[in-house]
Amino acid sequence: MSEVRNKGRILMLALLVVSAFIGIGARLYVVQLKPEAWVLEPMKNNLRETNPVGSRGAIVDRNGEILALDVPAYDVGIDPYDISRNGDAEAVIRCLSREFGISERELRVMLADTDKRYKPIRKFLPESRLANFEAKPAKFGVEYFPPHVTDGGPTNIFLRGVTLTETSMRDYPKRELMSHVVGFSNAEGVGCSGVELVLNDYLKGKEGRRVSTRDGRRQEIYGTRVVDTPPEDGATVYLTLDQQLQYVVEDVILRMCDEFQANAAWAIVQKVDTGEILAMASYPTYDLNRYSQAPPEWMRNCAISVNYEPGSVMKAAAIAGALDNEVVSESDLIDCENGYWVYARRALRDSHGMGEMSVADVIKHSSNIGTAKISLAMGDRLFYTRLKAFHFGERLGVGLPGEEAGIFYSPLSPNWSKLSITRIGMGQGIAVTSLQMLSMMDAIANDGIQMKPYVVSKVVAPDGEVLVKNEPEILGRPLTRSTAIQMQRLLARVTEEDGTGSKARVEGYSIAGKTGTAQKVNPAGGYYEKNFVSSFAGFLPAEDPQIGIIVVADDPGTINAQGRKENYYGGSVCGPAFAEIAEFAVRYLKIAPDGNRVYVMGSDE
Amino acid sequence: MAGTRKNERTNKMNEVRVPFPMMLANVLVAVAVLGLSYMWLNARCDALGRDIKAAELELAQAQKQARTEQERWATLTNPSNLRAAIKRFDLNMSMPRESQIVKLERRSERTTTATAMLGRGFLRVE
Repeated sequence: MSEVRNKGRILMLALLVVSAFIGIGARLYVVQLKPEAWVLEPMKNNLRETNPVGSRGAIVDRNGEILALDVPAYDVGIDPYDISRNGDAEAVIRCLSREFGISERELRVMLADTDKRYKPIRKFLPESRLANFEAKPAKFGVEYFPPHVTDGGPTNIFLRGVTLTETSMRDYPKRELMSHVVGFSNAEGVGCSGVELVLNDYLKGKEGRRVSTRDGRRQEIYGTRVVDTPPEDGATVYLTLDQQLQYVVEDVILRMCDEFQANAAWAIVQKVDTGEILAMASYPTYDLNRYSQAPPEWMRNCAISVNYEPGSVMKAAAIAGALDNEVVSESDLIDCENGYWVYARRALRDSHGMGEMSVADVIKHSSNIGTAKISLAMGDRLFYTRLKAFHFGERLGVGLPGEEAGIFYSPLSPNWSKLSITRIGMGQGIAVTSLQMLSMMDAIANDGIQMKPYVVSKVVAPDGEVLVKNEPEILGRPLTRSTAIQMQRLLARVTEEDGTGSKARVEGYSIAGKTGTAQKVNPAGGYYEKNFVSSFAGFLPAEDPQIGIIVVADDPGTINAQGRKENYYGGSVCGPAFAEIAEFAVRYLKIAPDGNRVYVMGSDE
Repeated sequence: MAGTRKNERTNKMNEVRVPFPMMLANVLVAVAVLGLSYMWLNARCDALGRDIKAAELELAQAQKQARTEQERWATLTNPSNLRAAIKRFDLNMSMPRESQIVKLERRSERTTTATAMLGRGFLRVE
């Protein structure tokens, strides 16, 4: 009989191998046959779901200059429960008090609440503000590096129970620049005003979803990621505004307010042929990074949300309508009654009484009586239709919240009286926004075509896809081309030496425009005696209009020694401001003087 | 002594080797190879996961840094800051006067010989 060598060892090895395989098989059997919950439940306890949010999109000006963006920030908090058991409360109090200027007493009260696992210390701190801290999430605390180390003192202190939670905050690096257009979003990342509000759906980032497990150091284990939907950043909004021009406009109206002691002022610069808004400013203004500290009235975009009686600027629209319908011609003579005229038992006065003057001079010298007579010649219905063609009494749809429609009653309305036609033409009994007035002026400048104003040029997704693109859009044609060109010429006379708008002139350029000084409406009825809204609206170069500008001042003027109000006329208050804005704009926008006039070197030189 | 050696030799000659079942051996080798491959792949996946995670963190960090730098740049180019800087360094920068500007325009069909220019001392032709 043959002998089997090492039989025992072989058997032992075979037994081990077989046992191992039986064990694996049994485990597989259990796993496969047990209910799903039995297997997955313990795993679920280790799963952690996070919902990372994409950054809110940026808002930039027409040249890509950033006006609003999300920047990384941190929330600083403490865990009183953990500190009371494992931390050094005194060190936490000392360091946080020194770093964030919180009283030690206040911190002691927070730390005394040892049931709580989180108490906020500071929210939305930029990274630069936390240069002395280094997060140590694995050790459940932060490392603090005191800025001034005393002799023998520690260079770093570990603060257990202090947490730095990563977040992001909305930042407005240009602070108050374009504040009324850009608007702001709140701490929850929801747009509350301006473009931030209107385009909130495009700007806000989309939430992602990530389900995975964490290791003992609280670090995610990538291989266990079972769901991974990445967050999407919000789209970038491109405005039509230009930050350099905007800055100049804001600076000019601020100084105008100071000089003429106006309550408020606002101005708009618009491209004549496209309707793009290049600048839109209101004063008082506010810092977008500190919007909560600004009074609500400062947040009002007066350029589109203040209805006011425009005064004489409206004469341009009324007379343009009359010329277009050939009710009058520019050389027709109007009897201006030497500055005093009674109609419907109400007196109407001109500041400079004159006798007969041509329609062209009625505009140049801003005669109330002349304009009233021209309006009367048109008749109620035609007069209303002609002004309505400029979209008075309607929102122009600039794409910003709070835009007012103005107030313009029809002749069929009970608010229309026999007197209305003589007053509306000179800018009384009608309420407009400055955007409407500028749009009317720009329609004249654009050869009779009124363009829709807009502030948003395009909205671009992070992958470069253009989601929204605003193109120039025609609102209507309130005037024929020939009348518009005629009006351009007539309005250019207003800024001549003896015109009411002579202070709006810019060297080398012909300016067309119209001054306006209107008494403010008293909410109790009638008008205030000494409170005015002054304005100047115009365009340049008059021969080939490129840009339109309107400047409005609310209740400007100073009281002289005799107790009389002075320096409140549109020509003297807003005219110089218009000139200053125009002077910068033509150079900055490279607008050639007086259209396409060409200067050629002479052959004898 | 000699007898003992002979016995040992005889025992060795008489020794019967138990043949290990080839099929089982192959299966075990295959399972072992599979197991080792699985472990290697698993370790590789873990290592790649860690790399991806590190790259993700790096990307997030870079994006954060880019945002911070964008914000810094935007603050620096704030017109009010630029103006303050110009004032601080006494640069006396201002827009040029009309007389300092020379404008060149595309030569039209009518102006065939001369260069279109604007400046002092030049004739103006409409």
